[in-house]
Amino acid sequence: MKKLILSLFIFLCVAASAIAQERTVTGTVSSREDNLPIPGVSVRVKEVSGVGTQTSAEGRFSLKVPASAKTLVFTYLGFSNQEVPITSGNMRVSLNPDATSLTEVVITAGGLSTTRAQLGTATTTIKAQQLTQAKQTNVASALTGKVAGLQLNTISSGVNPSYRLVLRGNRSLLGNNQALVVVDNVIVPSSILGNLNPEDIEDLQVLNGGGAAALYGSEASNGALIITTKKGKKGAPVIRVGQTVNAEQVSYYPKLQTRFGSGADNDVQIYTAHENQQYGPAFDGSMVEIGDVLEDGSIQTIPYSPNNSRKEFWNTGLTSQTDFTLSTADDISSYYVSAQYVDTKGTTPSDKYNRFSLRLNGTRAFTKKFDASYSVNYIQNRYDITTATSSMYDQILQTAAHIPLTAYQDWENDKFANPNGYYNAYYANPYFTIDNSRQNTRNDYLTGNVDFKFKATDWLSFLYRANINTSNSSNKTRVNKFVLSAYTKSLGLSSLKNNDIPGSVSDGEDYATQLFSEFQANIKKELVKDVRLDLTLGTSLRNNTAKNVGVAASGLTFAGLYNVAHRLAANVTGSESNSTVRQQGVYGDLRLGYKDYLYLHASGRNDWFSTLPIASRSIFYPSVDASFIVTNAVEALKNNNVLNTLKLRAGYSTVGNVNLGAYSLLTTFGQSGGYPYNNNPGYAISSTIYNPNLKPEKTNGFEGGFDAELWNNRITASVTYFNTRTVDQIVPVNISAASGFSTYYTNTGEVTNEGLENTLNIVAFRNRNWEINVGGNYTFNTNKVVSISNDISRLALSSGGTAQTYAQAGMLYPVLLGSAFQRDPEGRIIVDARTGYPSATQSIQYLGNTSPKHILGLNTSVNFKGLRLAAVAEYRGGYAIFNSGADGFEFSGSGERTVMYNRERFVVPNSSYLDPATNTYIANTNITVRDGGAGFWSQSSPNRAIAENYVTNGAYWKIREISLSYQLPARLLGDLKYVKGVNISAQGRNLFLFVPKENLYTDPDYTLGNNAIGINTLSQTPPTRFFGGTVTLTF
Amino acid sequence: MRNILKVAVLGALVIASSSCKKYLDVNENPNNPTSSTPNIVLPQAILLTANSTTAFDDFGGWVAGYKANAGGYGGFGTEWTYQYTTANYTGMWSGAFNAINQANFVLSNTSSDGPLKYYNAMARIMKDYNYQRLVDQYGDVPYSDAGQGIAKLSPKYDKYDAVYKAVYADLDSAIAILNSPAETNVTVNVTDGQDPLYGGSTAAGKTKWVQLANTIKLKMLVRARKATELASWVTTAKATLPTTSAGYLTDDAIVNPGFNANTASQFNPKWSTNAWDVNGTASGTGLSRMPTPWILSFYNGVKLTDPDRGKASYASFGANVTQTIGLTTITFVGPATNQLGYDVDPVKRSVSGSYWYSGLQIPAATRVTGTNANKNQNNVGILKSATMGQVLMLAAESYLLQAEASMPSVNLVPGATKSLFESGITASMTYLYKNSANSYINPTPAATLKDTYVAANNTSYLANFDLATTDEQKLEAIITQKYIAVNFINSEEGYNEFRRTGYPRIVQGSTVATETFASLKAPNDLPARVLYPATEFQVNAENVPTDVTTKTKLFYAK
Repeated sequence: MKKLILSLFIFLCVAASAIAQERTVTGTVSSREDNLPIPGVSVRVKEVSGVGTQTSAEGRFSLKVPASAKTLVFTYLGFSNQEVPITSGNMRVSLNPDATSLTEVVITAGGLSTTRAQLGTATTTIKAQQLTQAKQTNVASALTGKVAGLQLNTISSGVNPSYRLVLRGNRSLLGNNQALVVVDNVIVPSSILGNLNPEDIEDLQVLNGGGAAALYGSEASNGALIITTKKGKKGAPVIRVGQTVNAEQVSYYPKLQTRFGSGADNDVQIYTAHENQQYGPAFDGSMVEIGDVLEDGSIQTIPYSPNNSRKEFWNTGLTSQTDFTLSTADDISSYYVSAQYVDTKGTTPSDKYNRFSLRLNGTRAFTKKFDASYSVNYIQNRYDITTATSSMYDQILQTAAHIPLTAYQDWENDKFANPNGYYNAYYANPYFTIDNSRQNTRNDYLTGNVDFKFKATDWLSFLYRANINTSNSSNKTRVNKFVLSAYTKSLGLSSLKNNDIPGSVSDGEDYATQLFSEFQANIKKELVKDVRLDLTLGTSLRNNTAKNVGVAASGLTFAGLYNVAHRLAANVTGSESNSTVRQQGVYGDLRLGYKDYLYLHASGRNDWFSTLPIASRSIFYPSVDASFIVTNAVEALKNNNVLNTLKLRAGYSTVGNVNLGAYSLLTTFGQSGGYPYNNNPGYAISSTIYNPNLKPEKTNGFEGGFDAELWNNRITASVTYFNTRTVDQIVPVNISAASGFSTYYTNTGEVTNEGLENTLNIVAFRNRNWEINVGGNYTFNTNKVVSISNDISRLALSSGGTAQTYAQAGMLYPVLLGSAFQRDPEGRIIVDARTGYPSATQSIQYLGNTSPKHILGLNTSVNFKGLRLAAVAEYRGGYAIFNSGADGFEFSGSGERTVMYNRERFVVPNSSYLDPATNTYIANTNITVRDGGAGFWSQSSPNRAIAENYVTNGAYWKIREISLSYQLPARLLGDLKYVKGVNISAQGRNLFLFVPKENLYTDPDYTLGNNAIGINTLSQTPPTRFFGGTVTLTF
Repeated sequence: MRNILKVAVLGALVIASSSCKKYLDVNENPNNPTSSTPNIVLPQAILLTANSTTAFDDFGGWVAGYKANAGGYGGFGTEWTYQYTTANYTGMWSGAFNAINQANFVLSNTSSDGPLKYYNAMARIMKDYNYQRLVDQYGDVPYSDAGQGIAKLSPKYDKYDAVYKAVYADLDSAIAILNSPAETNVTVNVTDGQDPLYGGSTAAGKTKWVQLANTIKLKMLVRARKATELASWVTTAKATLPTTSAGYLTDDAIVNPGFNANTASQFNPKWSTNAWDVNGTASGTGLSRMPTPWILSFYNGVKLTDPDRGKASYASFGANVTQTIGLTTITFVGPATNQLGYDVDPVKRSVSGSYWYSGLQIPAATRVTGTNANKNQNNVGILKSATMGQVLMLAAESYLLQAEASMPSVNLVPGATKSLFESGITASMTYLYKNSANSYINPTPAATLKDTYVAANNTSYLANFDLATTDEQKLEAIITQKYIAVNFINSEEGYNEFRRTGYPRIVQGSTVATETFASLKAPNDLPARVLYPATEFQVNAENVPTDVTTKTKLFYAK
């Protein structure tokens, strides 16, 4: 080694003396993001013009510089410029990706590319590193807290949670409000976000509003996520292998009381051995019997003191994720190959999930004028989960605190865990329920895309694109048969202990295939001096075909044999549905640029739909926007270090939403009421009719704002104001049954959305070794229902409980309406003068809005050499949620609220009663409720039926992500010849949740699906946190 | 180069627009038909009519004292308080209009003199049957504007008297069609499978359809008689009524498309609501409802003695029953009963399959349960089995209507009142001892059962018609027998007639279980009617009558 250095030294000296005053500087340039070398980086000397070079395919450079040279400037598209003092030896330079630079090329709607400067609408770019820093397996959940204007809700928990991703709030009353998802120019169902390998993503453009996505016309109203996957990078093949292991743990458990045991009597606390309700005596540590005497004469005796088994019921889940990627490219072609395997065990015992995905992305230049790019992605996932999540959760809550719940796992062999011997007479053993009701699902997805580009001249090019996106799935759902013993039935305890479970099985298969082709012609030309034209004309065809068939039978012949052939009842029920939907579009996209500071953009699209009436199936969607770069236009502002860039932008657009499936124009006839009987058909006319002139919903929107970079680009800020009006909503309006029908589909209703999206990112500190970034985004959003129709002012978005989510004319959208306390004119709760009990209002009352008005995301990253610490936090506020599990919490007596007054009689706070003599309301200071136990809390009319009791503030703070990664320095790799890099990281997700005291129940993010946000149920298991570690090797 | 561009762009546009129409014409529904024919819709018009009777029976069951809450269940709000809202019992409205819509489809695709004229006539009678029931429950209803779909999304309401007259005239038209002969090679007969009520347009079938139409007409005139707006019309309209008993229903009008105990969707709806499902799981509705002490008093000797109908109608009738409720063991004579609104423990519990499934078999055997009960063809009573038919109208009602109409003070039709009265009782015995296949299977003839019954109650004018000396007593006897006959079958008729005549006699405001059927929670608040459904206020607000409360009396009310 010494020898080598010596010889190098001699060589340098010789060189220096040979070429007077010159020396050679060498080094490598890599990306800070992934530590991979960057080829083609421009390297020049700051002090001397005209001296420079480019990095090689391995990212190396070697440059002879004059003595006056002190600093090297590195520039590369998509990265911040960096100035580095010249040092001797091999310089190691890392460039920072720059997502805000005006010259950065971004992909917009239709796969068109442009520079950031030209964009007249709000977009947010999420880079691969931000997306994958916490090793999320789901792309959607990896976005939360990082994008202004985005609201993510968890609509199903479990092994592969599904999310609802909405930009700028809900605007459609009953139609889809979720953002359009486009992967490599293929429009895909939003469910793909839960299946896409996040490691494959190069970057993700969030087009916040309809304006940015306007080129998609009828699908643009909810904004779009434009995902671009990785391409092979020039240079020697780079292989990366990663292994992640994450543990999942219940992070927030509802507050349960641990003071009173089994009992169900009003007024008195009597211990009942087989009771689910927990209104018995206080725990005293004595030995008590639970359940009824078994057939063999045995009975369980346990201490009458609380344990923690209701929480210990939930397992620690485990996710193992293995990643493989290979990337390579030469001058004419590139390859990117990746594979990922994810294996998950959930927090619900026995629930399992796995996913395997494979991707090949490639490009190939056939001639200088003709090239192609292609991608194929195959994903399969397998679920093995229980179908009885909410029953299981309810059963846990219907278990008193002294019951050793976790002792009942082996229900097949343990007589006390078996349905015959389980202590609880009314609610089954949750372990039995999990095992008895299960579903296996397989989903296979295949996406393939090919783009051919022909560059006819330097100003004219053509593109043809074709892709297929298909999903196939099958599932089997079954409930096993269980026959209770004659002895159990003879006890006559309850329907649970009297009724056998007959068992059932259902099987289903479906497929959905989308074929899409698109042709584009593009002209890029300088029309006259300083005016540049970029015009794209295109046409597209889209065909979606889907089918599903299902078959079901109930009454199994044999326990454990789940096949529709083996059943007791004669019949099997079956169903089939098919659909084909086609869409045709013609569009144009025009950009005009004047010098480097004024850009105008206009697009127009005409769509034709097979699902709409022939007369109204052609729809035109126009949009215009403009951007003005103040710092390029005003001479005085050019090249100043305080305000580097300031861009003003504004746009107006009309986009649509075809909230109408296939065949939704004509009333149908169906066999109902058991028909056919004995070969005789009977067809009834359905109760739904359609407006013969249905047209798509329309969203007209304005947005305006600015983007600024300050203080040597260390501060970037962006503000966007938006205001949209969505009209002609397709709504099934109830009509008078006397008209012959009960539902009428028509265009009606108007919703407005208004808000502000603000983003601020600051490089708080930066030197050669350190970089500290802090950033935040804040969204203020108000959605309002202006009207629904002349006939109705209210639409229910959910159904079933004491409070529901509604669209109500004149109110925010959506709102909770439900039963509230009867109150006197002063707002006090009216109680009955005899019983002290409150009561519910007859009509439903406003209980709160359910879409957060304020969403704040904070993120920070600290880089020190190879070490990176990143964190994301999120706040939401200004909304309410309804916790619908009142039966589980209060009927059972397990909820914390039921011991608020120690199960003693109490005076309802802030209450009054009617004095019959004076007919006035008198403040209640002395009338206590008749019963402070089961007679109040478990009762419907004074307590459980009053939804207001369970409506809480939805505000929360959440620590979404914390990750710490370390790129091992090259010297540590030593002799590991083939290993180019080692990265070790630790990460956690959803680590902490802070909610107001009144929220005793769960994470407010958990909500019903569709548009009925704001109600959480027991079908969502308790929220969880993830933490784990990753090792990635680069070869 | 410019040419390349032109060709390319124009080409794309031409291809796009020319192929557009063909490419997009894929919206033909492959899943469900979007058109249909009268012959396969008529069965639905009949079955949906029969199925909608359950909503009416449910309302009558609660309000007229036939059923009450069972122990172990709570939350019977308005059933106890009668504080009806526009959300209560809306199934009567929607069910009837759904059935009417099927009939309307048949009517608009047939004519009274075309080849499908018998389809037309049967659809008319189904529509008329539904309208008569609607008017009797609601008064004014949409009629002339109804059933026109998009053309009339908010149909106006017609006065009850106008609807009554129109329905009556329509029944006359239907009868005329059915009485007209079939034209050879032209008229298409209604087949057995298309008519789950009477087996199609055979001679016998047509006769029965005419009988049903005439019985509806008779019911309307009996009810309209005291309404001032209709009194004069009744005197002229009665001219078209048949003058012999054979012109009216002589057998129960029962719809049975082929109810099947092996197929969940082919269960008799009333059975599946109250008894067991296809897997033998007992219905929660059946378990949460029980007979009242009030209705039992017409069987167990408190008011009348009627063991034959009692044991056919109720499980454990007259037998000792023991129940352990909480820590209390109680023994009582079955069936378990509860007074409506009584909810202080211990409330007696119901039984699997409900108390209205007596399980009485001919020949006698123990009460079978679950899937065995679903299939048992030897069961008699109210709930017979999953394959029993659904009653549109009982012959008992027909005879008792005739009995009332034949009273000299009523004078709508001639006839021997006592004989018709006793025929009514016999017909009631007949129905209860029919099996699911609609066959009377009791070895003892129904007339003998009737005689035994009259003899056992020979001191009560409610059964022994000879003791009813005044018209008012005769009316009370007729209506009380009708009240018993429709028990849990067409319970709403029990309440309709109570509202019209005040019978069966109750002690107003009493809280004694056998003196009144009113709820303990509101003994003085029996409602005069149900409210129009909420949807009418939401979507037909400009037309729905707004001055109606639960105290607003219907046109026929006393």
